[in-house]
Amino acid sequence: MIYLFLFVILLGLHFIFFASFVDSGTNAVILAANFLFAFNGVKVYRRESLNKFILYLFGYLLLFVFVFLLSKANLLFAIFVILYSAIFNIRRLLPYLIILIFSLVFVTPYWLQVSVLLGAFYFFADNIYKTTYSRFFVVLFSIGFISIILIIFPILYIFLQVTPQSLLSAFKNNEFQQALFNSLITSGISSLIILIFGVPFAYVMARKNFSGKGVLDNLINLPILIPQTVVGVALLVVLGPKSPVGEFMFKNCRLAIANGYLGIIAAQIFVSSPFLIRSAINAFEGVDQKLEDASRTLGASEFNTFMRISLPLAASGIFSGFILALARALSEVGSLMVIAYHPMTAPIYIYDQFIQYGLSEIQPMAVLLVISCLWAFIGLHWLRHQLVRKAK
Amino acid sequence: MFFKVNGLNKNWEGFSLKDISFEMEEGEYFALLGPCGAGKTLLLNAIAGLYRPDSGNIFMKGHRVTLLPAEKRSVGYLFQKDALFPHLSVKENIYYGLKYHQPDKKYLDAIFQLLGIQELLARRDTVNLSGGEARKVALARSLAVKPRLLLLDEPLSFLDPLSRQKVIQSLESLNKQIGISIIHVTHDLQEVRGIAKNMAILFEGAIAQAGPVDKLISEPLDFLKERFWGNSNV
Repeated sequence: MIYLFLFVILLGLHFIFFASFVDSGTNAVILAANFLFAFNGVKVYRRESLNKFILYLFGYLLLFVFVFLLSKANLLFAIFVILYSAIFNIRRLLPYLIILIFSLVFVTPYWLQVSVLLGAFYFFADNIYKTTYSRFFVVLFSIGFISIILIIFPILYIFLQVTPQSLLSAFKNNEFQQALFNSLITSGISSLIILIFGVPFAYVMARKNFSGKGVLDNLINLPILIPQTVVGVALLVVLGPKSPVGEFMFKNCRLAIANGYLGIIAAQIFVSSPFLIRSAINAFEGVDQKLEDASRTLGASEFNTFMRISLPLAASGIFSGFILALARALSEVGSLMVIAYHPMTAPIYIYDQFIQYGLSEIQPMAVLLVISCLWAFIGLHWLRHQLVRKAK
Repeated sequence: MFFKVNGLNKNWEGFSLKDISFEMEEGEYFALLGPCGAGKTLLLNAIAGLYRPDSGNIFMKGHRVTLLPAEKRSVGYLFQKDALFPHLSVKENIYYGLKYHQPDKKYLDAIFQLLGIQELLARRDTVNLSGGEARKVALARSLAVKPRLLLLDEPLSFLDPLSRQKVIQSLESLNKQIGISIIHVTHDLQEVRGIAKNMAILFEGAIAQAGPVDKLISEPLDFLKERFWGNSNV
């Protein structure tokens, strides 16, 4: 009975009030939304407290003022009212709706990205508060999340710009496939080479004190400090076709280092080695010296102790370093542009296409590259997780 | 003489052991007493071969072992915090050293029985062992390789009173029944009273006093009385 009464009132209100703002079609939609709102409002009033009911009305008022009056987004207003009425009873989802409405009304061009990011932020902040009950940590997290936004926003933005069709056509591009293949193979090989030579070195650095260690320790970081183009130039001077090494390789093995796979691998090793070596040093330092001592007193030589104690216990940390080095090698562009533009790796190919055809052409490829790298790293992390579980 | 340290000096990160000399008989339970920071662990490490002394010598059964690496000394070492290998099971921990030594089934069974750890052997990880259990597993691990000398670095630390009682009983019977020579390092005289026959007191990197336990208790040196024993009536 009360519903019929409400409906009549609403109908009257719409004929008198809303009709002066919107056309009759939109008016009908808004009427339907308003009726749902009123219908749910009765339920809220009956089941919950008066305060909740006032809150419910207040939300509607905000929607009305901001979306309907100020933004003049009439249909959107109707949709929001429907969503609001439906979601008001599921309190957990209400903040997400508010975020969605906020982004749509205030940052219209970026509404999708902003609502995803804010939604994620709310999700984490809420979680942190509910597990720690510490406002301080929520504030710290909020400050830190700004840096996360700076990282995620551009990637999210280009992800949401491309269509599945353009992704598919980019993937069918043979040149791109070849470049992606080049990237994965070369970065895999260079990370493996760093692994083989870096791990023994890291063990010495972690365990022994010797004079000149500080200098070596800083040398490890050198590749991070040097601009990538300079790395490329330096490598070209040492390994290029006119250099003794380059000439020797070409005469005896018919292999060009510059503009060849060897050049790519050399550049990648140079730029990515610090990440693996540094992680490996930290991993070995994390292994208690006492465990190695115990192994020695039980009859194991230094080599056996390394193989049976230090290496297995540091393996997970070293693997993390391997993943970092792989990522760094995969993303290298600057030095490759100097020493080995061809054969093209995926980042170089994308740059090359950008120069030739412009921004819109390369967006799907860029997204595809990010996706394939992400898959590779998720796979590797999963592998690492399995290793850690097995080790336990 | 079974075991002898002669004029050992060692400088390590600003701390130094000065002219350490002492000796012990085979099958003896020897106590090395000293306050925290006296250099007890450093001395044990030198005996075990984990550090090379700057000067001085260590003899075992008449052979000079000063320059032998740790794995060839046949010195068992119970570390202060057990140092169990976290990535290995209890059994793998205990059998770790048997890859380099001939296993002796009868001896091992005797050790397990004495320590009462047979049922622990089935445990998969060492992380969930109680303090007393972990200590016994570490003890079994160092004993499994049949060391000629066993070093104990504060073997009762971080244990509850009941576990302490059990561990000290095991140590006593290891020494008496199986005849293992033991050097027990501690800062607490009560731990070794009644078990150890001879003892040396290490103080600020040097041996302050050495001899039979009873004699050291009845005639303590004056400066030790003040600074080490304190006012407690021993």
